[in-house]
Amino acid sequence: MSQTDTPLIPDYSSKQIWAVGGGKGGTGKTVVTASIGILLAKAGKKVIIIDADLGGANLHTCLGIRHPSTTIADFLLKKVPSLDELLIETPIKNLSLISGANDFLTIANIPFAQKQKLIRYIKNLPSDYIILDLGAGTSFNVLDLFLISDSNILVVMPEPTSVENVYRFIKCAILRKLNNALNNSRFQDIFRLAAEARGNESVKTLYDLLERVNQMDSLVAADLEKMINTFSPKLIVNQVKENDNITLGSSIKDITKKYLGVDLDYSGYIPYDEKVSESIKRFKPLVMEYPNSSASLCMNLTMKKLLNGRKPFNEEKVNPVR
Amino acid sequence: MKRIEELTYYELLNLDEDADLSDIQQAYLIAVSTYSMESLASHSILSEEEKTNMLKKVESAYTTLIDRNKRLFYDREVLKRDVDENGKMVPQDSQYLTDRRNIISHEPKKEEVKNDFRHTESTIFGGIHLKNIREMKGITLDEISQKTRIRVSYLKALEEENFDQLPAEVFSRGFLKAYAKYIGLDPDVVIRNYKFKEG
Repeated sequence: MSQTDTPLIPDYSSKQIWAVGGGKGGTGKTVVTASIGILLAKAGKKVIIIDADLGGANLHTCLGIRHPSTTIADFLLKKVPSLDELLIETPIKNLSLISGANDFLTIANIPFAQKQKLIRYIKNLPSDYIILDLGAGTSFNVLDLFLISDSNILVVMPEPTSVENVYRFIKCAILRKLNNALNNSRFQDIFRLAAEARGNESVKTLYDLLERVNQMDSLVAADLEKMINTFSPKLIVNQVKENDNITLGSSIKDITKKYLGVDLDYSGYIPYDEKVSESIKRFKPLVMEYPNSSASLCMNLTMKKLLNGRKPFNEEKVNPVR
Repeated sequence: MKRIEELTYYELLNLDEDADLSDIQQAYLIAVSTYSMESLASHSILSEEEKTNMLKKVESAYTTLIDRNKRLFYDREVLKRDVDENGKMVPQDSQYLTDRRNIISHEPKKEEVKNDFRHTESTIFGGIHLKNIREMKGITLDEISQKTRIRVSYLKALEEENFDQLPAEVFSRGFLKAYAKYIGLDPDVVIRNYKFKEG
């Protein structure tokens, strides 16, 4: 099947939006996001990192900013008219931050209209790359921000809880993607059943869902299948320790393809490294403070794979970093 | 998207159809670690039963692909692929190759492959292989039973190599031939390579 068939993400500009998610907190999403942003900025790209972890933001700390002057809450509370006014300069050239830090407890559950507005403004930010650091969990806010992105990055670590959450995240994301695309009440019951399926039952749901939609409308089913085939999140295995199985990434890719129907792109693993926590304690970004640590070196390799990896929708628009 | 049962041996191990022996070896090791009982990657998503089934499939995929003759047979008879002179796989319906082969040799290539099998004792088609091939083609035992008028329990016994539950070998061989033919395999090759008794 041709990859240029149907533009699945409408109206996106030449800039690249990357989202970093994975379901579970504590896997190192934030450090990975900061590193990706810094490496792109060092390669001469204009980069904006957005802390979209609306409930538990701390990306600013990883970039060495102790008290962000403005946060995304100011936009959501209409204190500023646009996101552009929230851009905070970071110690790194070409890299700015929109912080999520706030004390406004209910902000993690922003209403639909506000989310749409936020997404519209994110897409209009003036930058080559926009990197979103997503919160934990599989709320619709998290999933929708993940799905508007050109590149969907998942961070998992070698622990059962993280593995469990990443599968749940992938399943929720693909169901949400199909559901968003198929705004038709005829199929709502099928989706509800698929989303409610638990445990081993859930494993075959995507296939069964397609089959049931197919019985009702084969054209719609073909569209959905196309959408599943072009959804290819990238997987990073983080905090790998000496005795961990380094084939974990390949194994997760294999199981996700066979049992969830989604073709992951395994982008690499990053070893557990004391230097990560040291750099955070010093309020210095890892890849700047310890560029030759094993974590930073592997981050560089992973970055190369993220840039050269398959791009389902807009291959020609990516400028590989040299 | 395919169901697990419909995957070819290559898809099962995430291999290209021109994979070499070291690719196959490596893919096998990863697959075994992915589906082993204590595997982290399968946590929360696969049941023990699913892992056991998958390991069986992986095992038969590996034993087929690692053996030159079995692989050749699988490519030709199951996947209906052609093998050109350089050993590279091409789809059988490629008109170009068909023409070229007819020019090179008047003898159909199929015969040559069959001849290979006559000279090898090592190629064994076990029940599990037959079951995998049948499932990959999406054929049910009920369907075969209806068409061949052989009881499902006998067909199942053939796949599970439960010889106690089968009638005398002379009859069972007839069942096996009919079964093999129905799932699109050459009955003679299957009969020659299926072991009716333990050992």
